Amino acid sequence: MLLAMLRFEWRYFVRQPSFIVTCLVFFLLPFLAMVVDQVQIGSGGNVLFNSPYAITQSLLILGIFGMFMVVNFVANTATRNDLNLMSEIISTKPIKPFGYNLGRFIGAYLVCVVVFSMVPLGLFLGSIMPWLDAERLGDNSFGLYLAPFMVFSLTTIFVLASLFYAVAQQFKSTMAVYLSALGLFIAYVIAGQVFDEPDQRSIRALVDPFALNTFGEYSRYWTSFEKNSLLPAFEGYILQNRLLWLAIGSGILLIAGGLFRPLSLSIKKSKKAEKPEVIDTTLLSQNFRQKSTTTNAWAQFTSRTSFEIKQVFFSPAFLVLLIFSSFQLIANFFQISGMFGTPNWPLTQTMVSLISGSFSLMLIIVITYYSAEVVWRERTVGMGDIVDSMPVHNLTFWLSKLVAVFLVVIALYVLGTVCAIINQLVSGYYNIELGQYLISLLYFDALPFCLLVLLAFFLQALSPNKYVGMLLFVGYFFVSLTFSQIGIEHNMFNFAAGPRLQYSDLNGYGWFMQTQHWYMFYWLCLSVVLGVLSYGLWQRGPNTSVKQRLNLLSYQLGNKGWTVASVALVCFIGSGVWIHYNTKVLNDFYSQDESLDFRADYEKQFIELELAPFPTITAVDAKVDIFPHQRRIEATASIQVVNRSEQAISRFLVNLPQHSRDVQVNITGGQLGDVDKKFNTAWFEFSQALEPGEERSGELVVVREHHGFKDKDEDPTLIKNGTFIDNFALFPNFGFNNGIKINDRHERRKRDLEPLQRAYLLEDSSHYKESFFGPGVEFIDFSATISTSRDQFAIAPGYLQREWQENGRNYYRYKMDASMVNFFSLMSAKLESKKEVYKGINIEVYYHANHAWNIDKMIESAKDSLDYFQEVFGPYQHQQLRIIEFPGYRGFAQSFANTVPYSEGIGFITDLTNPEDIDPVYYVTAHEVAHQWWGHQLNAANVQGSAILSESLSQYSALMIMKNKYGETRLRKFLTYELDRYLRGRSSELLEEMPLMRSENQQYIHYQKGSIVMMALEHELGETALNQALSALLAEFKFRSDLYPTTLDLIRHLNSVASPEQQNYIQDMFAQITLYDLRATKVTSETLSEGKFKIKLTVSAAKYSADGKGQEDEQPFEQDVEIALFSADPNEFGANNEVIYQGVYALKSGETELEIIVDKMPSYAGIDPFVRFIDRDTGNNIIKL
Amino acid sequence: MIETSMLTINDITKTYANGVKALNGVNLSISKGMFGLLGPNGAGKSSLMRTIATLQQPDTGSIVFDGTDVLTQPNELRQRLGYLPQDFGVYPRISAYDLLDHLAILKGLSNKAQRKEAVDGLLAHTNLFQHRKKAVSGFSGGMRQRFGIAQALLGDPDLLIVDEPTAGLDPEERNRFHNLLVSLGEQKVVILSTHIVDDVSELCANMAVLGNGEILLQGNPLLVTEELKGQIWRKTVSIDEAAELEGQLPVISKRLFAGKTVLHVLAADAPAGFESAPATLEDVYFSTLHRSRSSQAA
Repeated sequence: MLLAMLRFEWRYFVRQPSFIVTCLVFFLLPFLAMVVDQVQIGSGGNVLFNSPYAITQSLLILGIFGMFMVVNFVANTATRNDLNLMSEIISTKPIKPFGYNLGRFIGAYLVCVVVFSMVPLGLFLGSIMPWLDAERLGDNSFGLYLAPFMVFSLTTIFVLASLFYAVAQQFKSTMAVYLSALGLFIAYVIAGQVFDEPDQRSIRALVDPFALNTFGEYSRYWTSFEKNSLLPAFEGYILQNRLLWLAIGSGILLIAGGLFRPLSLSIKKSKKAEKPEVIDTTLLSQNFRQKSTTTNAWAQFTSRTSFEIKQVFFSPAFLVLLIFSSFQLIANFFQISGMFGTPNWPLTQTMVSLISGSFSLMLIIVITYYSAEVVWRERTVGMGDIVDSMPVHNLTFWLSKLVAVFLVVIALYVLGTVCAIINQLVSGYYNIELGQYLISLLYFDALPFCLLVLLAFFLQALSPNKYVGMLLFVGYFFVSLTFSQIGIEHNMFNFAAGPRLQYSDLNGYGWFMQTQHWYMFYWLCLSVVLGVLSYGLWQRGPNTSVKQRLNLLSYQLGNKGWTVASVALVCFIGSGVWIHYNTKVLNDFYSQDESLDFRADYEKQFIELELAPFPTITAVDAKVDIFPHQRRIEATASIQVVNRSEQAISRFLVNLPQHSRDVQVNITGGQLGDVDKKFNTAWFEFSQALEPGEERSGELVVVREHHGFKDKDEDPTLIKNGTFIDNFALFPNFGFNNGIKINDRHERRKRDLEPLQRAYLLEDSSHYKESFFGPGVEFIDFSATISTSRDQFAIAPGYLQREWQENGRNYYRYKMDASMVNFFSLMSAKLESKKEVYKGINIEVYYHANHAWNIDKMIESAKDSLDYFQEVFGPYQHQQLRIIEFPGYRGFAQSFANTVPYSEGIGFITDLTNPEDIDPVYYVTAHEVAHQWWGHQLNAANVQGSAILSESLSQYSALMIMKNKYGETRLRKFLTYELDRYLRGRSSELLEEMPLMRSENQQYIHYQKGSIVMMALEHELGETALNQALSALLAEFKFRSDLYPTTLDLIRHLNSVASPEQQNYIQDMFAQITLYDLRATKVTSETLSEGKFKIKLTVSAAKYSADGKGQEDEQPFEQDVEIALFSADPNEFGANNEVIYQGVYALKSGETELEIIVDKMPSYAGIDPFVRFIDRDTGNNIIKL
Repeated sequence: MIETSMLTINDITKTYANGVKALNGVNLSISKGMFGLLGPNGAGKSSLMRTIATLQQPDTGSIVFDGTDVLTQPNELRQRLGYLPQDFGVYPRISAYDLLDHLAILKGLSNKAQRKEAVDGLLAHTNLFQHRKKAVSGFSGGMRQRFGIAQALLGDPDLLIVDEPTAGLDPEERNRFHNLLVSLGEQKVVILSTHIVDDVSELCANMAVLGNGEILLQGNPLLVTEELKGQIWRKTVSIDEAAELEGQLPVISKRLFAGKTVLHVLAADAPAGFESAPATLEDVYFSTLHRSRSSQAA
C-alpha cells in the first residue's frame, strides 16, 4: 500500500505543470545567481563562487522560498481527494489508512526533495559554465553540493512538509495551509528582526527552522579561508538545531498528521433544509420589458468601477495582503536603529523609505497577481460570455479594471502611511509631514507602480490566458533586473523608472522633482499608448486571436483613440529626446562599466606620474561666491606654491574639477595647456622651471554650475540648502589622482591592471614626507571671503573677521590664525544655531529646526572632550568649534580645522530617550573633536597604518570620554559591538587583512580593532602612561610638515612606557593578527560557613595568530586575564548590576580551574568580561551559576 | 407567407486552432419569431451561437442582423442582443438583485426607476424575487439557470440567443420559461439552441438541424414532419433482434419502452413485421442525422 501510494503521488506530480514550473524556477534562480557576476549569494572578494559557504548560503536562502513550494505540493496531496470530489470514491475502497496516508506523505515529501534538488544542480551547472572567471572558482566536487543539501535541505523540507501536511489534514483546506505558511513566514521575519541583539543570537541559532541563523552563527566570523574550505557538519548548533526540528517535525506528523485516521468524508456544514419553492406571481407583469436606451458610458463606467473595487477589496486575498504587508512593515519598524543599536527618531523621510523598501518587491507580486485576476475575472468565474456580449465599450472594461488595481496599489501605500504615523506617534514623534508622505509615496512610488500595472494590463490583453500574461510580466520584471548588468543602466530604458528619490529635511526634494516630472511624463506617454492598444485589443469572448482583434482595432479605437495614441506617442518621443539631451548631452552619463573603464584608462595613462613632483600649496586666500538657488559657485583662490621635491618642476598634471567651466590655473612663469576632454585633465607648463624650494604665487579660478538634469550621480555638494563642498572637489588638483584607481581586484584583472597596492609600505621612508591626505597636502595659511544668498549663511574654517551685506548677498571674511591642513570645507545653508562660550572657546552647533533633540548632548560632549584632551594631550589650537549639519545625501561626520560637518543621517536624529542604549551622539562628537588633535595637529605619513594615527587614536580619545561619563560596564556593550564588527569586517575582507600597524585604510581595522586594542592597552599600561606616550608622540610631530609620523613612531612611544612583557603584548597587537579564544566552561558554587561562598570556575584560553586570508596557527597563551562575578546578567545594563568580584589571573593555554571566595552569592561568572581581548566568540565568556 | 429575414448568416466557417472544424459553410436566414437550432453534442451549435453573439470571429463569412454587420460592428449589435450561454458561472459574494442591477446598467438601462422595474420584473418572472438578496454563487443549478434567463432578457433585446436554456430546470420551470419565450417571441428574433427535440416542436415556427458544422436541414417543423408522413415504420423487438435488424434496415432510432426496444425505420414501404407510425419531429431529426452519417460513411 505504502509503495503503491508513493508511486501514485510521484506519477501524479511529475505530470503536473506546477512540478515542471517549480523545478525550472528552482533550477534557474541558483543557476543565474551563479553565472551573473553581480548577483552572488555568499561569495565575493576572496570567497569563491562555488565555495562551500556560498553553496550553503544559497541552499539556505532558497530554502525559505522553498517553503511555498512545499506548501503547494503537500497541501495538494492532503486535500486533493476532497477538492476533486474523489473522496466519496476513495473512502468506499478497502484501504488501510496508515499505509495510505504515510505513502502519500512520503510521496509528496520526495517530490519536494526532487524539486529542491534542482538548487544544487543549478549551482553546479552554473559553476561549470565556461564564461565564469576561473580564478573565482575552486575545485568542484560532489560533496560540496551534497553535504549542505543533506545537512540542511532534507531536514528543513521534512519539517515544513510535516507541518503543512498536519495543517492540511486538520483543516481540510488549501487556504488554511497557505495562511499558515504566510504566518510562519511573517513570524520568522519578525522574530529575526526583534531578536537581533548579539546575546540573542544563540537562541535564534537554535530555534530557526530554516537553519539560516544556525549556519550564520556557526560561520559568523569565518574568514575567507574558512569559507572556502569548511563544509557544514552535524555538530554544535547545527546538530542541536536539526535534532530539535526533526523531533518537532516527527511529533507534529504523528500527532496531528492524521496518519491513523480512517478515511472518511469530511463533514460539510449541514445546510438548512431547503423550503420548497413557492411561485410568487404578484409581481408578474410586462414591466421588465424596459428597452435599452443608448448606452450611458459614464454610468457603465462608474457602476463597473465600483463593482470591480468591491470584488477586489472584499475578497479574502486582499485582507490577507493587507495583514501581510502591515506585518512586514511593522517588523521593519523594530529595525530603525542607527549606530550601535540605538534607535533613530522615526522621521517621516525614514518612514517613507521603509515603506518603499518593504513594499517594492511585494508590489511586483501584487501587480502580477491582481492584473491577471482582474483582467481575467469574468473568464475565471464563468461570466465572460454574458458580460462580453453586453453593449459596453472595451474602454469601460479596461479603465474600470485599471482603476481597481490602481486602488490596490494606493491602498497599500495608504496602509503603510497609517502604520507609519501610528509608529511615529507611539514613539513620541509628532512632526508628521503628511505632504511628504503624499508626494514621496504616491508620486515617487505608487505612480511608477501604476504605470507597471498598465504594462501588465497590456501584456494580459495580448495573452491567450492569464498565466501566459503573468509569465510575460514576471519575465519582463526579471529581465529588467538584469538590464544594469548588460549595460542598460539609463532609466530611460527601464519602464516606469526614474532617478531614485533621496529626501533630505534640509534640501527637501532637491532636484528630484524636476527629474521625476520629466521621467514620469515620458513613461506616462508610453503607458497611454500601451493603454490605448490594450483596450483596442481587449479580448471579448473565449477565443478571439490577436490577429482577429487587430482587424477590429480601428473600429474599437475610432478617431479619438488613434488621436490620443498618436499625441501620446509624439509626447513620448519628444520628452525622450529632452531627457536624452539633458542627461547625456548637457551632462555626462557613464554606465558602471564605462566609469570603471574610464578609471582604468586614467590609471594606465597617468600611472607613471604617481611619484612625479608637483607644486605644493602653502597658502590659500579664497574668494568664493555661492549662489545656492542657481546651484552655482564662482570661486577664486590666491595660492602660494612651493617645490618640496629635490628636482626642478617643468610641468605637472592638473585634474580639473567636475561640473565646472572656465577653470584657470595661473602660476607665475607658466600656463595651463589644452584640456584633454576624455580625462578632464591638462598639463601646466612652466616656461621657467620651478626649482627645488622655490616659492611662487598663483591663482585658481573655477565656476561650478549645473545645467539641465542628470540620470544619476547628481552633485550633492552644491545644492539649494546645505551646500557642503571641500577644496579637493571644488578646485583643480595637481598630480596623479590616486583615488581614481579601481579597488576591486577582479575588476582590475579584467582591465589588465596590476593588483592594487592600497598603501605604500610602512618602511618606505620616501613617503614619510607626505601626509596621508596625499602628496602635496600640508599645513597652510588660510583665509577666505565667502558670500551666499541673502537667506543663508556661509562658513569656512577660521575666525569670522567681518560680516556684511552687499548687492543683497551675505558676505563673510574668515581667517585662520593657527596652522591647518590644506583640507577645508565651504558650506552654505539656512539653519538654526546654538552658541555657547566655554572656557574661551566658542562652541556652535548649526542644525535643522526639526532636528533639535541632541544639540545639548553634542555641546556637552564637545565640552567634556575639550577638557580631557586639553588636559592630557595639549592645548586646542583654535578658539572655536563648530558642528554643522548637512543633508543626508552623504552619511558621515568629518573633521575640518575647527569645523565639523555632520550628516543629518547620523547623530542629530538619534533617539536617546532610553538610558540603557549606547550614546552614539556623545561618542561621534567626541571622536570628531579628537580629530582636531589626531589628524589636524598630528598628521600621519602616507604609508601603511596612517589611519591608525588619526582614527584609532581618535577612537581611543572618544572612548575615554565615554568611559568617564558612562563607566566601564556601559563601555562593555560598546566594545562588544566593536569586536563583533571587527570580526565580521575581517570575514568580508576583499583582499587581505593587515596587522593593525599596517592597516591599509581598512575601516574594520582602524576603527573597530583600533578601539579594542587601544582600550586593552589603556588597561594594560594604565591611563596615565598611555596618555603620556601619546602626548609625547604629539609633541614630537605637532604641526610638522617636514616629517610625518608612522605607526612605528606610535609603537616607539608606547614601548617607552611599557615593560618588556607589555612590549611583547604591544607587538602581538600591532604587528600580528592575533586572536584569542576565551571561554568560561563550567561553574559551581559551594556555601561556606560565615556567609561566604566558594565559586569554582573552569575557564579555557587559547591564542592564535592568523595570516591575511584568515588561516590560523595556535600559539601558546600566557597572559593575565580578568575574571569577574556579577550579581546579574552583564548583558542587561540594569543600574543594580553589581560587580561582586573582579580579579586578574595568569592563565595558560588550555583549561584552568579557579577558586574564588566571595561574601555574596553571584549569579553570573565571566572571563574577560570587559572585552580586552580580541576574542573570536564573546558569547561563551559569561556563564550563569 | 412573406417573411422578412432579420438575421442573415452567410457562409460561416470556423476552424479552431487544434484543427477541429466547428462550422463549415453555414448559411441561415432567420426571421422574427422563435427559431430552433437542433443538433447533437459537438455539432457546432454553441460555436454558431457564440459567433452570432459577437464572442467569436469566424474565419470566413458574414452575419447581418437587421442591417448591422455583426462581425465588424459588434458594439452596435450588443445594444440589441440578449445572450444566455450554455454554461456560465457568477461572481462570488454578490446578491442576485445587485448582480442583475449591475448587468442592467451595462445593458444600458440608465434610468433608475425603469431599471428597478425591469430588474424586479425579471426576478419575478424567473421566480427569483424571493431569493433576490441571496448570493447568486450559492444558487442551485436550476436557480442559476433562471438567473441566466433573467439577465438575457434585460433591456428587451431584439435578438435573443439562448443556448440550452432549459438544462437543469424542472418540468414546471421549463413550462414557465417556454411560456415566457413564446410571449416575447413574436416581436423579436429568438434563437433557441437545444438537443431536446420536444423544445423545438413545442415552440418554434422555424428550425434547422446542425450536424458536423453544417446545416443538414432547415424549415418549418410541421412542414418537414409532413414530408415524412407514411414513411416511418416501427417494431417492438428484443435486444438481440434489434442488433440484427440494424444491420439490414435503415434504422433511424431505437428507444426503450417498458423494457423493450422500439425501432423506427425510414422507408417507402413497410419492412416485414413493421407497423406504420406517425411521423414526429424526432423522426425528422434522427433521419436527418442518419442520412448525414451514412453519406459521410459512404
